Amino acid sequence: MLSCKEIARILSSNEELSLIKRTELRMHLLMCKHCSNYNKQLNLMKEAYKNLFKKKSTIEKEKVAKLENDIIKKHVNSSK
Amino acid sequence: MSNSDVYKFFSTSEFVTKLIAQDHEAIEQVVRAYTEHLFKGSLGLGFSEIEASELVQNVWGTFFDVLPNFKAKSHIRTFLFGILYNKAKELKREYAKISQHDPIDDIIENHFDENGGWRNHIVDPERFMVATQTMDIIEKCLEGLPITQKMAFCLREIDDHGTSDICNILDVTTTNLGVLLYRAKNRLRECIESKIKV
Repeated sequence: MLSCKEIARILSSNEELSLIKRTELRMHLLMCKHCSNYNKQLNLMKEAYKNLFKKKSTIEKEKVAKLENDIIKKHVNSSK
Repeated sequence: MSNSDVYKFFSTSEFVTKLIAQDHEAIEQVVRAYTEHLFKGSLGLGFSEIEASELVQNVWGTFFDVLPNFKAKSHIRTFLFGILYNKAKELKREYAKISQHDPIDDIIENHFDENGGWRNHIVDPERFMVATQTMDIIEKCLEGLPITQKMAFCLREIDDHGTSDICNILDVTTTNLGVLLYRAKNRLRECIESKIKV
């Protein structure tokens, strides 16, 4: 049986599991409130950081286009 | 073309040959495909917009310089991120070496009793969520991560790179990548949780 400590380590290190271990993990999460909350927190974190970067990158579109043009121009000039 | 089509197209030997020959069209295609990625990656490492622009230009400069010797062993994207990572490391003057011991390890250890059960309560996800929706909090907490952990976290959780790609970019083993993610996520979680209690 996996302990909560092992569950926490598996969840946070993105460890790839065998089918049997995966089933055990799922069962544990169903039964253990602490680990299930821990797992939910990790998922919330992932969502939050994805959103943070989505928000950041929507403003950057024009800047990125300008940056691309600069890089391409520089390369064309240097290879002349 | 979808992202994965572009990814496959860039690994065809025909394309790589054109690229190594510094063909303008091929160069333009990769620049258009990956500049945004690299820029976002740099922001994710905590660089300001101005720093990130410089860093990205720098990465492409190096890429063009080493292009004649490019061996198609790794994908162009992996190769570019490798350059980015090395430059970022130089700028932040931090060792990329994964330390044997990290203070976060003790903090995690303390959460569990001798049987590996939780010693204390985990903050309710709903209360936790309020903190994760506060931009200031999550930005500050990410800034607090050591650069290698930050890079591992961003590549994995935000950019959805595969394990072998990230291991190549960071030049670490799968086991070490696990340790980096474990430390990064727990450090972030502790940081976010600490902001709720006050």
